[in-house]
Amino acid sequence: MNKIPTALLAFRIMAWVTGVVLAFASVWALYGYLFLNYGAEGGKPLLYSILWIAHGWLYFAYLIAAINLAFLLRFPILKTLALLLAGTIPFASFYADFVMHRYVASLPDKATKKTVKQVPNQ
Amino acid sequence: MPPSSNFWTRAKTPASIFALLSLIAVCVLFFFLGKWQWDRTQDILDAERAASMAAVPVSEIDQPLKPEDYGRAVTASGSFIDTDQVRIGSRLSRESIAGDWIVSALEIETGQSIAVVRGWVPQGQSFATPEGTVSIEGVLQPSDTFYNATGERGSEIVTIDSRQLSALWNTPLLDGYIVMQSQSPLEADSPESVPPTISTADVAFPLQNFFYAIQWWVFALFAITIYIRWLVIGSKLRT
Repeated sequence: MNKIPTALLAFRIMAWVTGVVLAFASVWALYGYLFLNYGAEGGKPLLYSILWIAHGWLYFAYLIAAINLAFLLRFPILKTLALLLAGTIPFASFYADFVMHRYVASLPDKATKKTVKQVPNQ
Repeated sequence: MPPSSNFWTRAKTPASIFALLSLIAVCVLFFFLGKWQWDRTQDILDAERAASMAAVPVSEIDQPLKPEDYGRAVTASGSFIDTDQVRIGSRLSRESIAGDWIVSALEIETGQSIAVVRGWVPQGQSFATPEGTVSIEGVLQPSDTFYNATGERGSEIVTIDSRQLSALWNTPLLDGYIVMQSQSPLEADSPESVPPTISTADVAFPLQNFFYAIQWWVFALFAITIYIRWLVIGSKLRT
């Protein structure tokens, strides 16, 4: 069975979930540090902290999805690292999702659908 | 063909050794980043605990009380209003002897009053109420809210609840009450001080730093997993 479409879908889900949480948390952080004195000790609300903790674990799931896809596509190390880091930069994961879909779509059919054609004994 | 032979051949290539060195560097870096967050967690807790241990004037605590304020050391100075005073029966001394607790209203400089558990006296025994200004130190407690319906047994008061006492004395009172630990000046036959029910203030836990510490260490383990997986996939490619 070909694993690339599944891996690509898993990556798309994680890129969007992680990306939305990160974007929301970043905007909140910017607003909080500028206007609500979040720099002071204990000045942050609990929900804010929980959101960042959630991003941390979602990012971990993103890492698994991204590394799985990078391995399947035989990405070189630097390209892989760029893909992994995209989950830590606000809005970068949306772009990464776009690029990955464009890349997979550009591959010849053989690369993504090869197993159907390559069953030898039938 | 043993699968491990390819694995080890692959592990000895310059690219793999370079990757291994990078992995070690990353693990060391992540370990120290995790330790830094861990130390931050401890430092924040220590700072918060130290801040909550230091006695603050009760007038500086926001009303109504928040759970973090329960158990805080507070100071107050003012005068006891000797008409606003109740004996609460069936209460124990530090030596667990049954007697009465004396609760009085203390009028502080701001003009507000707060209920103060001055201490324990043997049942039926009289005690001195200081005249003039006193300085006290004690521990802030929330009003007793359990058994609210039975707070008053006939005319006898059994719980310490600032709203109930306020109604009884017809004096506005601050939320909660103070269990007095020391008083100056102190008369010879003053009530004997009693231990507070809640003695350690609850401080907000720095969740974010704590979880980031764990996360850095999880990431270090993940990097090791990825390196091994990378070697396994690489060795399969060559067969």
